[in-house]
Amino acid sequence: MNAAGTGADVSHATYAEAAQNPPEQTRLRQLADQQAALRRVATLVAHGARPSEVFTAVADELGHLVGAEATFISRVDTSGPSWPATATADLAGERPEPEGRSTVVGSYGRVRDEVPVGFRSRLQPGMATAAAIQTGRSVRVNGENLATGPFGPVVGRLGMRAAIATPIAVEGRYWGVTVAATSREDFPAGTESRMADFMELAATAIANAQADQELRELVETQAALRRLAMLVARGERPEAVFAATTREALRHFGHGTARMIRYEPDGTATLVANEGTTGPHVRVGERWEGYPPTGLTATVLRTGQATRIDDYRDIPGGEPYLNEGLRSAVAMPIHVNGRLWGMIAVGSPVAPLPPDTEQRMTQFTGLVATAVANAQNRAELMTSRARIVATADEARRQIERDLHDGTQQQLVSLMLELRMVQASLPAGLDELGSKLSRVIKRLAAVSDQVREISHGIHPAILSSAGLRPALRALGRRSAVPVDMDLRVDGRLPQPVEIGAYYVVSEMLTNAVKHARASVVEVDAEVSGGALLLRVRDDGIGGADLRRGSGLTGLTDRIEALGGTFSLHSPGGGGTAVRCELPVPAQGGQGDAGHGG
Amino acid sequence: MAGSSPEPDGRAPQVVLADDDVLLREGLASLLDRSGFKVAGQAGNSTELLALVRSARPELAVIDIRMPPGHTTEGLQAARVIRDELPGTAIIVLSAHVEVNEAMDLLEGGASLGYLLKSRVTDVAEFIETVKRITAGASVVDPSLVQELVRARRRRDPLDVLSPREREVLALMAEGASNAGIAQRIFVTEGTVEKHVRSILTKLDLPESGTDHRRVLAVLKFLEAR
Repeated sequence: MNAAGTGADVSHATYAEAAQNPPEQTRLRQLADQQAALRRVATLVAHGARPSEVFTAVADELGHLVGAEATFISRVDTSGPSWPATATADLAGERPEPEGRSTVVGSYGRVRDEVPVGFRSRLQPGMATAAAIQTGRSVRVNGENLATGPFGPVVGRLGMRAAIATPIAVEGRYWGVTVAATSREDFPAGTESRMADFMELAATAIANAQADQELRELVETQAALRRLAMLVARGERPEAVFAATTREALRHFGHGTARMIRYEPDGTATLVANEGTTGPHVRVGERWEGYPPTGLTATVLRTGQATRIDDYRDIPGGEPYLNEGLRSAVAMPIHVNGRLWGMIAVGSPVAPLPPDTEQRMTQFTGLVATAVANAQNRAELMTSRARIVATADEARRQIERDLHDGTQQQLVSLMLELRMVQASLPAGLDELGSKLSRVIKRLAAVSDQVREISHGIHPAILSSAGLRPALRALGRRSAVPVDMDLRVDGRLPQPVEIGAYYVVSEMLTNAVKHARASVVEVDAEVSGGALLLRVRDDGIGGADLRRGSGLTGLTDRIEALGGTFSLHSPGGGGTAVRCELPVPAQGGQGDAGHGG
Repeated sequence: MAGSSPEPDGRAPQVVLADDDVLLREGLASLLDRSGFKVAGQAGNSTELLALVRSARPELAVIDIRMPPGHTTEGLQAARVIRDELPGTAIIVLSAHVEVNEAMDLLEGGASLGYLLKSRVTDVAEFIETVKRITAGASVVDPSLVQELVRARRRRDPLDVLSPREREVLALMAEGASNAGIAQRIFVTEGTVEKHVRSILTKLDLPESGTDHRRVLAVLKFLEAR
């Protein structure tokens, strides 16, 4: 027996002896090591380390404690009944093969490159992880079994000869598995129980880290949702809400890309927002087409369920996504008012997205749906209000036209005819002639009245010449002097012209009838895509929008046009109105028939 | 009231009418016919009117401002075309309501132009008198529009420098009256009117203009802008 061999034997013997009959000192030292390791992990958690850091630290400490060269911690999500509801050892043993996936969340030592964080694998027979779950106990695999298992090639490359997998339970529920491997022939006896002891205690740190992370995510998600809710409440355009939502999704769940897609009633899809990576197929606001039949868009549309792609290389037609730098993605359906409205997807350029992405996105998506529904309802409401106003305006225009082209014309014809009759009277009927004259004069007064009425219903000049001449005419006819500064050239969309006209008209009426003003100032200016209108008088003030005056109707009208209307009328301090109306860009001169 | 022909050569001046209301058009035709004009044709819209004016070459066109298809200011546009093609044709645009921007638009065209409320036609004698003045070269603006312009209240009113009499003269200038016409209306001599006019032009800093129709436009512009 040579020295080297003896040394190895001795070493082995000592190790084995120490494991089987640990002297008090060894046991105490191990306990002290374990406590120190746990303290380090707990400190990390207390300092708010990210779960991945905590998991890696746990793997690291475990490796040192049990003398493993490689350790990793996997989060396991199983489907089917194989995963027991609680981590009770009694239930272990007789269950069928587990189905599901494991995702590496912490990795230490030689496995770091071969089995990195984010590495996912399907549970399959022969895997230590699968066995640990199936039995609910630590499982040791060594020798031939390890070399021929599903991870045989990896194990071979790393030179591992033995591995122990131990289930991790967090707060009474199975959570995952930790695996320790060694290049020595085997782990000492009792390693299983030491691993189990350590993991039981480390589980608290894992649970804390996870709870902490969940809490932080919850806070962040809530903050994001609050921002989105504000956007909706402010009445932002749906497109802006979609873009903001997609930005938040990328921030919280994605690793490179987030996009929102709307399904149209005709079966097509529209890309409504995109954040992150892009490509020639990514055109926001346009038809989303050419997507693979087994991709996210098609699958969500078909199933209405959350769906994921772990590797676009496995998807026929997935090249455009690979080309834009995506590897994996998760899509969540958005249901609005009980029907599938669209989906929001997040993507990653590297590993598959974490297995809990879907679950974490659920609440977010639910609130996104609410935001979408609100934005949509609001948009519909705005459209319908604008339609109601436009319809009423059109009706007024029609009445004005009827009075003008019908009633008034007939009155003039009638007067002309009476003049003819008068002219053809035989001599000597002077009295009849002057009676006819009186009738004609009264008809002329009626005609003037009809003109005034029709002007009040809808000023024709507004349609024919636009806001500026119409406001100037309004000012000239006012009983109170009006100072006007109108920086409005050309035509504006008809609803805007009518809205602005009524604001000034109502303010002039108010200045004369209620405010006892001596002057009214009117400023109008088009800039930055909006008409800004300011009207103020020097009267007694005290006008109140709530008191059902003509001013109340103005608020409705202006809001229906997506504008703002504010009234400032302190007692004794005059009345001022500030009104801003969006002026949608339109090609060249607005034409008068734009309103319907 | 059938007067003698206003033309020096004894020929009745030719007139075309455009209005989409047939009844009113016929009434107007009959009125003009009995007042020494010869109605050369009637039109129901701008296109018919332009064809008619080109073929009949009338002395005068009386046009409703609002006609098919748009029922807005088609008559005004037709007047512009006629003025461009046949500047010798006098034009009267009738409107159910009068707006200063339309008046200025029309009067930019030069002499022999009238812009009147439609209901003026029922005041037959005065209307025929106005038509004759316009045919003879005057430019005329409806008095109700001038009244609106003069009466408009301003906080700092440039018209405040005028005496009441000068205001009256200014309004008549805006309506298109000549100095002789003004003299007749306010019962003073033409020399007195000339004095008033000079004073007004100086006080308001308005240019002296050779012709009455230029004076109408200048005063209108001043009143509109004040």
